[in-house]
Amino acid sequence: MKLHIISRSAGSHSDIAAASRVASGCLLLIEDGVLSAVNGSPARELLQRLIDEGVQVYALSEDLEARGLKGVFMLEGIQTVDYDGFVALVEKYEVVPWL
Amino acid sequence: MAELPVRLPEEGTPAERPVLLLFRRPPYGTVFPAEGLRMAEALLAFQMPLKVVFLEDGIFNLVKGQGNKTLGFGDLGSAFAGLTSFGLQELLVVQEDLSDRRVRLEDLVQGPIRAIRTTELRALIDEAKVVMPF
Repeated sequence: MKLHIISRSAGSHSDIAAASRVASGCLLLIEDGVLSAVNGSPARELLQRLIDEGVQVYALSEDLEARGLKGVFMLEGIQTVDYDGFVALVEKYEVVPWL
Repeated sequence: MAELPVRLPEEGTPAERPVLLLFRRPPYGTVFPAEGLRMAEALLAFQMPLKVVFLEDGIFNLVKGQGNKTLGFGDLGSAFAGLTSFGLQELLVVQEDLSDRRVRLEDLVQGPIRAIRTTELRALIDEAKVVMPF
């Protein structure tokens, strides 16, 4: 199983669109990738589809917090993980970095 | 003979899961595709199992007739096709991304290029031991 990691915003990069075509298992939003987790994200339909298909979608809480986004604008169905959770995911899955 | 820094697969052992290089960016605008090419050459030189896929704007890496003397750019497309002389069996390109950009297979460099669907790309990613984007 793969862990797809998105680190850039859906507003300016196609990473999440590319990953959503092939993602199964798990998808983690980090760095500017967490901007895709907000309600008004251009990627919200893609993310909703992935969640509906059973893909586990996570956002890194430290990166949400740094951007003032923690818990307030989040799309439903996205789970948050902290750095320890990030490490646990990387140990559990093989990583596909979308850069 | 000095020990090689990379372990080579022993004869008779089951096939290792391949390294998968994903070329997502177009040529020349960034150094990514050229660096990916170098990595592909290195992996092939050490006989590592390798697959390469061109997707999104990365499909433009395979368009034939590249290169510009004024800008000092070589022909990256021919260089990718030349990977077959290092042992790469085929260059894979995502059909949907060709179609979206109205690029046809006959617009691409000569060589063993095979168009695949996104579903096959998903299977390649799931199968690969390591996935690296360029």
